[in-house]
Amino acid sequence: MDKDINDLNYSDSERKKTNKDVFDAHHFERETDFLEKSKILVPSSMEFASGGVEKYIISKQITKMDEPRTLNAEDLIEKKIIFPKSPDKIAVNKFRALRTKILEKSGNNNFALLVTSICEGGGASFVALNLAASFAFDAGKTALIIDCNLSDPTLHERLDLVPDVGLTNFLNDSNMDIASIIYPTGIPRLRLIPVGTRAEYAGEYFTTFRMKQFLHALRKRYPDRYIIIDAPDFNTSPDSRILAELCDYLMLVVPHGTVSEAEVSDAVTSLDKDKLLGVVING
Amino acid sequence: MQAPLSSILREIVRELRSRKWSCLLVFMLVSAIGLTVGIFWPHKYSASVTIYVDDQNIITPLMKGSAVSTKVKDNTADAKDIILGRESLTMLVNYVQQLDKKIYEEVEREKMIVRLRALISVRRKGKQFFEISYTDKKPDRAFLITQKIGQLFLELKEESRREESRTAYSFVDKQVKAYQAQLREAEDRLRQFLSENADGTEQGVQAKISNLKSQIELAELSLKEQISKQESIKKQLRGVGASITNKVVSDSNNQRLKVLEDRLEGLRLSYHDSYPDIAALKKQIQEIKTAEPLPDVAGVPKKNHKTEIYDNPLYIELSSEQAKTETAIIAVKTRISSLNNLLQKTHLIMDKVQANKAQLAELTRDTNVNRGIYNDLLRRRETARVSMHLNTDGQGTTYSVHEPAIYPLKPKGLQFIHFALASIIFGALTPIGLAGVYVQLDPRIRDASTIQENLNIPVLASISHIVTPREQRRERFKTMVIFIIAGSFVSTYVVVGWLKYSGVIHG
Repeated sequence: MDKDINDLNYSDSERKKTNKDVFDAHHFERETDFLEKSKILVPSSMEFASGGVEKYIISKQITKMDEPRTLNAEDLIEKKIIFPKSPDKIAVNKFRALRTKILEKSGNNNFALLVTSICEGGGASFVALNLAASFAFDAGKTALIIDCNLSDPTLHERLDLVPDVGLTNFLNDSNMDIASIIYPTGIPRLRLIPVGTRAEYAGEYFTTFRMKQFLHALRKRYPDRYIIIDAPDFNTSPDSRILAELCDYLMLVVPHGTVSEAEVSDAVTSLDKDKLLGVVING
Repeated sequence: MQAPLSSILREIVRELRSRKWSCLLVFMLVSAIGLTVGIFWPHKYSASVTIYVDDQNIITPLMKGSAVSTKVKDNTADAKDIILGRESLTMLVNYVQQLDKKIYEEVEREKMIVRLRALISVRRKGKQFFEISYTDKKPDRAFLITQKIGQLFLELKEESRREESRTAYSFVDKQVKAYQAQLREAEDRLRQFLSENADGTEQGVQAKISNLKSQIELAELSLKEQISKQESIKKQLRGVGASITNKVVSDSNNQRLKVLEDRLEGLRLSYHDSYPDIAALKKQIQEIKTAEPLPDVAGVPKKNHKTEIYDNPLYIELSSEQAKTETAIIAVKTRISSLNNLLQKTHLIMDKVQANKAQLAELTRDTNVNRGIYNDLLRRRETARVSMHLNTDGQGTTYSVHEPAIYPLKPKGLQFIHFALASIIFGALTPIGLAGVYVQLDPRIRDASTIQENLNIPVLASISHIVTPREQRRERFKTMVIFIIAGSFVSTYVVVGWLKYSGVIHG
């Protein structure tokens, strides 16, 4: 099977085909074995030489991404997470449309998107997670969702994860490896960075240089990885505004029938208009 | 929130879906309240009576000028005043007491009067008709009371009309009497004045003066006449002798002869000539005739003549005339002098009368004026009397029942069935209405258009609520429960409604 391995638009069906052909799978494995073992998945050094990772490695990496467990359809439905075969076609299409709009705006480059809501319980986590899942539909893309909600993190619960370490641990410990805080979610091509265990201590995590480094590294190193940051709402903490400076784009989640125009306009005036992609009405 | 119609509907539906229990509650509450109100809503039976006002009457133009019929400007307002007046309502309350076979106290009566006043309505139905209507809870009461109101009105109207003309008449009568007294007074004063100054009026005195003057003239004339008469008599008397000598022939034989002849004639009437008395008489007559021949008339003296001297009658008459004339002249003269005296006195009286002229004129005027008014009042009194009789006899403006009260078979106005139907529909619509109002008034964002239009922020997506199967099951269950409850409620409603409608339950 000779195919253009430079072709990034490797769809699911292609992957399945390759899997079905056992012989070919082996073939692949033998070829890329040494690459896998080379552990160049997530380097810990900050600077990376210009040139970037070769594209074929990326696609291989994507196809060979470690999925220790997968959430099945019922779980996903219960968790209100979209997946390609979801019976709720409307929601799936909505999120896909949202994803497409965002991709249009970004010009198909990867980005860090901040998703936040106007008020508590606005559903930013829900929208962020589903949006990330919709990014992960595409076999040529991966999504990384970072839970920055220090006071009330819900993403790991949603995904049934019990993480040991997370973002706050990483930010506090300068020697920690990024790889150690990236967790598979059970949704193919979607990774989660949970908030961590040191979230109770009030502290300015997101203004640190390390945070900035971290995001920069994430973005530059993986051109196919789309980063979605789930930030707390505007009323609860100013973290979202701080994070807004670090991100490429912003998205505001407005819950249905909960906030008035005035509140929305207040929130929006303080944001950078160029970065603000728009508003999503949730509910 | 300003939003287009479709989004409003969508939002309404969404609100309703999310508040199912509240919807149910509102629906049940509203319907139940409506039904209860309907059950206890009092029946209103209304009866009415139409009264015809007849103010065109044959008699009216006939009696124009001599009688005045009581004019009523606005029949309906007048009727209303009477019907809703104190008197009428008091009588009505008595009647109601009779109907109810109860005695009410003062306070109760007052309240009843107020209530009746509110329930009775008087409406104008045309130029000459008006309608009295009364509403009550029970049909028979409505009917009887309406009838009674009509009757009372007619009675009172009669009364008042009679009263009016009677009072008018009595007023005029009083005036007449007053003026009569006044007139009498004036006349008395005048009379008194005249009696005090009995000299009379100016005209009287003038007449007297002229009368006197004419009498004086007449007297003077007669004096002149008498004086001339005297002169003439004197002249006459000079030419007449005082006495006359006259030879008188005895006439006794002639006289006897005459007597005998008369006797003879008499006897001849009764007897024949052969009667002895007649023959004797004849013989006597023959004897007398042969004894003396017939005398000569030329005054030659014969046997048995005498010479008589007697007074000249002419002279006597003339003398007596003269004497009479002289006395007459004296009398006339005295008369003239007394007349002159009288005239003088009368002139004096005249002066006095002139002095009193003013007062007299005033008194006379008073009397005249009073008399005039009195006469006028007498006339008016007669007019009033005729009007009174006109009214008592039932002519003039009459009122009669044009359409009597009919027994109300059906209640009017809102009835139970209206309430029953309306309240269930209203109950069904209330949640929708409330939701609509809420959606409209709520300032919170529900629709993408708000943000896009007002804030100019692009809305990337509008993600609807994702429902998991478990949630869906729960929701369905909830909905079914709600529908069951609603269904049972509606059936209870229908049953209660039916029972009430068919009369089992009484409000």
